[in-house]
Order: sequence, then structure tokens, then C-alpha cells
Amino acid sequence: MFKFLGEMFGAFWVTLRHAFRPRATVLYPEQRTQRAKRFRGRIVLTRDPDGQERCVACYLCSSVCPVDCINIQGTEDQHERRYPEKFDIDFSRCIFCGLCEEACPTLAIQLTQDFELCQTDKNNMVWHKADLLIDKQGKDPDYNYYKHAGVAVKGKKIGANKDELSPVDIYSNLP
Amino acid sequence: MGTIYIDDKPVEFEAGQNVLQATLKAGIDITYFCYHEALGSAGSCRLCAMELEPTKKDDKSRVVMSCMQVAQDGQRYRLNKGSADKVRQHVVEYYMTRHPHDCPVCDEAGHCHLQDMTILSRQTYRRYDGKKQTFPDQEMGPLIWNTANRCITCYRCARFYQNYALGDDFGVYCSGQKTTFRRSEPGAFDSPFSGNMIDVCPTGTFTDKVFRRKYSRTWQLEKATSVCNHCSTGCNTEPGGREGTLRRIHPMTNPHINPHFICDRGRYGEHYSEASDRPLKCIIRKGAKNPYDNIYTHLTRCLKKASGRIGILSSEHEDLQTHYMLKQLAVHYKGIFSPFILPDTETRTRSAIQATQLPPSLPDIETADAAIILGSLTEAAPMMDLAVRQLIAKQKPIIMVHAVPSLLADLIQHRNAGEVISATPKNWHQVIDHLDTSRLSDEKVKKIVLLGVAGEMDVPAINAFSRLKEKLSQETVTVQSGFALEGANAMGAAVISNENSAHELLEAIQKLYVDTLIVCGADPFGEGAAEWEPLRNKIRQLIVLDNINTETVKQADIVLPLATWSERCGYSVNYEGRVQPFEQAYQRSSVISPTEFVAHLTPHSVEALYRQRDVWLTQLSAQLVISDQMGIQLNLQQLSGIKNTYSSHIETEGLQLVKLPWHGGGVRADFAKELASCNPWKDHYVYLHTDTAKQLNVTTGKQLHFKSGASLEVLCDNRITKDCLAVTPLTLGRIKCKANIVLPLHQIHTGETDQ
Repeated sequence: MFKFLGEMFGAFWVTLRHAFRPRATVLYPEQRTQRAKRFRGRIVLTRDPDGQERCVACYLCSSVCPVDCINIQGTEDQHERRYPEKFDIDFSRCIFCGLCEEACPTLAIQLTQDFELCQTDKNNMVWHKADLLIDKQGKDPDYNYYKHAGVAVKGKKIGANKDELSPVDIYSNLP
Repeated sequence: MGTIYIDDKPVEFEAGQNVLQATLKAGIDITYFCYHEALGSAGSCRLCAMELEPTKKDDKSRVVMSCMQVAQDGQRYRLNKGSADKVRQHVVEYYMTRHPHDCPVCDEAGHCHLQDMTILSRQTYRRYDGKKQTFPDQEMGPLIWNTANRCITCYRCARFYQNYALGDDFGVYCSGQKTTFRRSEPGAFDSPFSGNMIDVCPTGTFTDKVFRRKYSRTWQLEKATSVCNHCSTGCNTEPGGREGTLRRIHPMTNPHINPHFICDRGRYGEHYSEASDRPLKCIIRKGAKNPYDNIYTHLTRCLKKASGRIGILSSEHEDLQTHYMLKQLAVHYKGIFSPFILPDTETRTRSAIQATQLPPSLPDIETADAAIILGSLTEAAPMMDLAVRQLIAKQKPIIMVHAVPSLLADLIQHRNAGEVISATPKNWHQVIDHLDTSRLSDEKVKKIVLLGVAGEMDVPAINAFSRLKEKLSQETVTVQSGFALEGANAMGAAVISNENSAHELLEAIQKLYVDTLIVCGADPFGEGAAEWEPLRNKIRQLIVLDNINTETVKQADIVLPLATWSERCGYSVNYEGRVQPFEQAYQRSSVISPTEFVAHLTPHSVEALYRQRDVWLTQLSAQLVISDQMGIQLNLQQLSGIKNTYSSHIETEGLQLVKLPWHGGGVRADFAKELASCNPWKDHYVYLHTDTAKQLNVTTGKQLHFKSGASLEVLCDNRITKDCLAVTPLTLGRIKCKANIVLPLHQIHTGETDQ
């Protein structure tokens, strides 16, 4: 009998004691916590330091994606610079694994801290290029793929990279 | 033949094979670049190194290039176990020192030989931190894109272009570290086989420029085995589509037709399916449709009303399954079916098939000892030309008769490889009968191939062709004869149709027995305007299924979008009588296949129609020879249906009107805009020899008036045979004349004589 009462009032006591303790949860969405640096959230497409799109539509992200949520169609501008004509990510399928970011050779696709992607309509979960493209460089502020690639684009001729010699003179007989 | 040992594993080899061939055939992975099955070994890439074990006790083992080493029984090689492994890795590392950081923007990535070989040799990091050598790119026309930096100097491109395709406008520049491969001047390639450089190149130095604008990685493409529909050779292709559009065509290996290559018409001509003016919607221009009906209910009602008065026209460019289905439609509605647009085409095709004996396959042509060619073969069937070029390379005797400029004739003359006779097609029968074949009567000549171009020959010429074959046939000499027919499935069309079907259909329309015409993949009012244009007002209802925007589509009352060969399945019969099925590569949502069309208009379902087709094909195969080669081949001698009894009146006095073909041109290929932009001939001009121009009293720039009322500007060109008026196929439709007709001089006049 005493044992039973002891257990019952003991429980009341524990509850009462916790009522005056500081809270472990935060009042989301009014209050927000800091997320880890490596947190993987909403995907963005970044730009070069000179403001051009970084994505060259190489299809590596859509190929590596384990849930097949990225759909790309590449094309190129009149200066033969490649860019995605269409870049769709279906966030209702995306599992935020970050493999696309790992695969991206131009550091264009990056995962951000943002995770709030709720929609009432599933069709709105497909984000198009205009929704994904941001104005800044994201995590890698200095990288510019075309400064390392061998192809010519607007503003960069063949052989103009730091690690390249100027093009050979094909009409010369000298060794 | 014998056995060699690669890392102690026994590998069988045939006589004359080198070690690399035997190793690859045994399925052992080994790195190589410059070796190619068709082009052989060059020994220049140093990547197939293997270590040859010594036979004597005191000898040392040595590293050899396996592609230059003829396999000998009992030899032992070390591939991965010896020091050659390190050699191969260092060679790849050396190649990669100057290779640009291009893979993400390179079209080759994903099916790149260099990527594969680099990974296979486990070369992952670049230790070299010096500066990379670079090369200027060259503009190479609308079909091929050049990125010179990516070259690894394996010489495959130059070996293909100069030694295999016998082109001379592309080659090697500079030497040593600076070696690069270019055309002598910027611009499109002269060769009809330039597209193969894309496949031959193991890196991304040459890539497909048409594919570049709508690029997808190879694993994203929906592919299937298909058959090229641009000439009667029937090369096997592999179309790749994505999201309902065609992206690119690759050759599909068929050792009996095209083991490695396809021509540019096959590769780029198929892009007609992406033409901006392609009909992709149902259009009803005449006749009110009940808004609750779908188009097929409307069509069924129309056809039921017109039952018994229906004509169905297909073309020699459509496949056998289409012909079969349309024939079923004709049976259901008691109509008349013809797979030929013009009676002349039908006559020529049937006569040519009758004259075909032991038709040579492309490998047969390549291994022949001599060839006689009648007509511009490059332009009619480019891949046959590529096979003949192998004979030129081996300096075998060749005789060629032609009327219009042909790349092959130029090549034979340029290489001094044989005799080229320029004659008007109406005189060909005399030329063939009096042909001097003494240069072929060598003891070494065991096999002669006779190749005709059916589109340029009349019936007397085809008969003379048969006589020539009899004359050449001896006990010791095999003569194989074949024709490049007018249309990919001209043979199939002749097999399935009754005699004189085109003539019968035209006559029925003329006599008003037929007033509703269903046209599938044919262009009677453009290509066949000479005979069909006068009948247009006798056709009350014109229903057209097509995948290009032809003159007939523009005039049609109802247009239905037809699927291309890449977008449906079917059967095609090539010039040898080889029946080849092709598969659907990708699904385009708005188009309809002929089988679905017939299923909508008859009580039969698609499945039932397929079952009937299978029964019919089995019945046909009672007449077929099941050959040991790929597919089934028709025995042409046993086919009773292919007889030619129709003959049209042939003028002999006057100038002959001939079609000006080019190697990338064709009824459909003309709608592929990138390829068509390379056409050397201009539409709306008439090309004449200077002497003919003198005879007509005209010069370049003057107008020439025809009986139909049309007039064309004259361009003098001495490559055209005398007594010929050469015009492009489109112009032929415009002046409403048939190809190969002889125009009496009074029907052609310069405007000045009238005044």
C-alpha cells in the first residue's frame, strides 16, 4: 500500500520538478537553431565569380542521383558556352544525400542549410532553373571552371589559361 | 589455328591475327588506341604493350607492342603480371599531361575510349604541373565539331579519311609534339563518310555538331536496332532519342552489311524528324467534323461513304509492314493499292530486280577483283561507294559509266584506277553493249561485281546490263550483279504489290473510278507532279500521312502525323533481298504508326494485324531462302510476282532531263537542315554542258523555258554530260517533268526566239 502511494506521488514529484527546468526544445518557427555546417538542405545552382552560370549541363548530377530526381537538358549559347536549358529538381523525391554536389565538376550544384520545402500541392515541389539559380558563388567563392577547361568561351581564347601554352603555329616547320 | 598464353591463360588465334586481336577477341581487357578493326594496327600509340617471355633460358623478356606482333603458336605474354603494366600506365600518364580539363563539356565523355583506357590503366592523378600544349580549333562545317586540344595523335582519323575513305582534304599537320589533324582549309568535308571520324576518334576531338545542340549523355538515350531508310543498302543503325525527340544516329554493327561505318546521309539525314515544319498534329482542312467525334471516327465515316472508290498510295521509301497494313486497308474498303508513285519507277525497279543475280553484299564488293559501275553510285548508295573505294585502294580495275557528276567518277579519274565513260542515260544500252572489258579479262580476276543505279537506267539499259553479265560470266569468273534501287524498301514494294500497280491506280483516278486517295509517306504532287498534278482535281478527298512537309501535305484535305522509322517498328528489304526488322527507339506522343492507323479504321486490333502480318511473312518465307547470314534473304529467282510488263514510250531525239543527285540528298534527307545546307547544287537552276548550251543558244544566266510553262536559269557546268539537262529533284517537281525523260528540242526554248 505504502509502496503504491510512494510510486504515485513520486511520479507527481518528478513532473513538478521538470516544470521548473529550462526548456530543451525551441519555439519553431519563431525561434530557430543553428544547423551544422555539413547540413544538407535545399539545392541551389550557383554562379561564377564573374556572374555567369556555373552549370555546364554535364549530366553528372542527374546520372549519380539515386532517386532520379534531377532532369536536365543542356544547350549552348552563341559563344559555345554550355548551360542547362532546363534544370528541374523534384524535391518530393530528393533525399538530400548530397551525391549531386559531390559529383559536380564545376561546383555549381550545392546543398544549403534551408530545409523548409513544404507545399500543399505536390506539383509545386518540382523546382525549375529559375527557382534554383542564385546570384552568388555559395561555398566556393573563387572557382571558375572555364579558367581551367581547354575550350574557348567568350572572353577566353584557347591557350589563355594559366597552365596553358599559347596555341602552336600549325604553319611552322620548326620542331 | 594456334594458342598463345596471356598471363598463363590460353588464348586461341586465327592465322594472321596479331596478339592484340586475339586478346580482345578472348574478352581480355587491354588498353589500346590506334588499333581499329577496319583500319588495322599502326603501332603509334604504344599503349598495347605486353611482355614477351623468352623462349631460351638465357634470354631476357622484352616489351613488345601486341598490335604489331603476329601471333605464333606457343608464345607466352605477360599482360598485367610483368613490367609492361607499368609501361602502359606511364604512356597514359604521358598522354594525359596535355589533355585538357574538358570532360564535363565534352560530348564524348561517357563513351570515350580515352576515359576507359585511363581508368583501365589505373592512371588517376596528374603529376605533371607544367604548361599544357594547345592547338587552334578549326571550323569544319555544319556536321562536325573540332576541338583540337583533345587529340592524342593516334592517327585513326587520318588513316580512316585518307586510306579507307580515300579523301584528300584532311590530313596531318606539323610534327613531333605539335602534330595536329586538320583540313587544308576551314569548311565542310568533301567526303560523304566524314561523320565516321566521330566514331573513329577515341577522344572528343571530332564530335557531332548536330547532336551538340540537343546533347544528352549516352546512357540517357533510348536506343534500338534500326535500319537506315535513306537508300536501298539498308545499313543497320542505332538511333538515340530522348523525351520524344531524335538526338543522334550511330552505326550498328552488322558484319554482312555495315561492319563499322555509315555514310553522312544515314547519320545526319535522319534529323528530318526534327524539322521545324514537320506535321505533328492532325489537320482537317476540308469537310466538317462532328465536334464529339475523334479524327478516326470521322475518317472511318468518310471512308465508308467512299468504299469502293478508294486509292491507297504508299512509296518505295516506306517499309514492308506499312505496305502490308495499307494493303489490308485496301482489301477492307475495296480500294486499289500501289507502293510506287510513278509507273516509271515501278518499271525500273521490277526490271532491275529481274536483272539482279547473286546480289553482292558490301563485304562481297570489298573483296571483289574488279567492278563495273553504271550510274552515280556515290549519290545513290554511298555505302556501296565506300566498298568500291576499297577496290580502288587495292588498285583493282574499275569501269564506270555516268551521266551526272559523281564523287566516285572523280576519284577513279584522280587515282587513275580505271575507265570512266560519260554518256547520256538514253544511250547507255549502246555503251554497255560496246563496253571494252579487256582490262577485266586478267587471270587474277575471279570475282566481278556489276553495280547499277536503277534510278538512272531505262529498261533497255537494264537489259544490256543483263547481257553484259552473261558475257562476263565464265567458268572461272563469278559475276555478282546488284542495283542501288530508288528507295530504301523498293525491293519490298515490288514483292508486295501487283504488276503495274502504279499505272493501274493512275488510270483508275483518270477514269474517275477512284476519288478518295490515302497517301502514306509519299509525295505524288511534288516528286511525281508530272503524272499526278493533272489528276489533282479528280481527287475529291486527299488524306495524307507523312512525317515531312511535302507538297502533298500542303495540298491535303486531312493530314495525319506519321511516325518515322526510329519511332515505330517494321520490316525493310534491301537491294540484296535481305529482310531486316527494325525496332522503335523512342516514343513520340503525337505521331501514329501505319499499323495503328489501319487498326483505327478497320475492325482489327493492332495485335490481330501483327498476327496476320506474321502469317503472311511465314507464307512469304516459303519462297524465301533462310540464309546462314543475319536475317532472311529473299531468293529473287523464285519470286514470281516481280515481272515487268509495262513499258512507256521512249523518245530518242532531244535532250535528256536528268536528276542531279548528291551524296546527302534524298526525299527525306532534304528536310534535315544541317545536312541539306551542304548541298552543292542549287534549286531552280538548270545545269548544262557548255556545248549543249551552245546548241540551245544560251549562256550562264539566261532563262530556259519548258513546255509546262516554267522557266529556269541556266548554269554552265562541264561536269554534266553533253545532251543532258541536269536539275535538282525539287526543281524537277517544279517544272512538272519526270526524271530521265527525253525532251524534244522544240519543247525547250529560250525566251528570245519567241520575240
